[in-house]
Amino acid sequence: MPSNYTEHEKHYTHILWILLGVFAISIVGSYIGLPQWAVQIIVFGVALVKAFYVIKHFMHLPQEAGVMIASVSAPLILIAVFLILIWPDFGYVGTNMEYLK
Amino acid sequence: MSSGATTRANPDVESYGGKAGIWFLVASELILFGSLIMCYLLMYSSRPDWDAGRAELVPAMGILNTVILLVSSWCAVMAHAAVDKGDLKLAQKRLIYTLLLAGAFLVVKGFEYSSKFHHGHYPNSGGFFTFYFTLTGLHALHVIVGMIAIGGLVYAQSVDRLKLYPQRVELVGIYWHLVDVIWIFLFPLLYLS
Repeated sequence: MPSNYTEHEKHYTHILWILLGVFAISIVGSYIGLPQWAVQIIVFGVALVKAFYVIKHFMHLPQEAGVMIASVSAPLILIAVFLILIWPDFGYVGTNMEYLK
Repeated sequence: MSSGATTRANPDVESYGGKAGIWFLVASELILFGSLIMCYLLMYSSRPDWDAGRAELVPAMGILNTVILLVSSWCAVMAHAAVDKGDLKLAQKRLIYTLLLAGAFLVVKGFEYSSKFHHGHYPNSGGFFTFYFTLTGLHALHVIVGMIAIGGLVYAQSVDRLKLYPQRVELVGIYWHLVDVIWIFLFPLLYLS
């Protein structure tokens, strides 16, 4: 790492290595013959970790004003609610299109 | 004096207004991609035949594109850091790296698309590939918009105007990180799980 980097620049570079490291874990995890449910937990768990690091350290969301945090949190909560509400339909709707009529 | 001139004269006000705007944009993009991803999950969970379509994707290309976007996101935040220390030349250099990596992402995506077209898979083929082209195509469109915005900042510095609105490097950076975050979820969804 160049010595003329500021503390912020060193921090961002450190975060990049973490992101690449956890990404490597998800790749290895998906190719070592684990059951599909385990692969899904690993790859989506890693995706959540990566998104958290990018949003916190690169986008600096926690340092923004409350209204901006709320504006981003609201759709995320709505998506989570949406996912919970349609969960019973998973594995059913796709092969039963008349169900949607 | 017009209110526009007043706003332009106060960088703090412009910065706050710009940030509110970019975060509202982020929120709307989350709803757009979140809804599409939910639809994909809903359909995919009951379509075992979609596995055959997914098997035709080349994960190596997705892996390469993920690394490209992560590094480009780092270049964008490093450009912001350069602005913070008052070195706009360095910020421009780092934005050019971001731009080149964005171009590399599109080139890889172009190779991937041409391979799919060669095998007879088109956006209107139905099933898995309709979702694949919709999700990745919409994301690629966002990459292009980001490239235009970053290109605008690079140009602004080349004509010595970036010093008038350096906070825009951060705003464009936030948009670029959003493009990265969306891909972070699209990659495992389409290529790995």
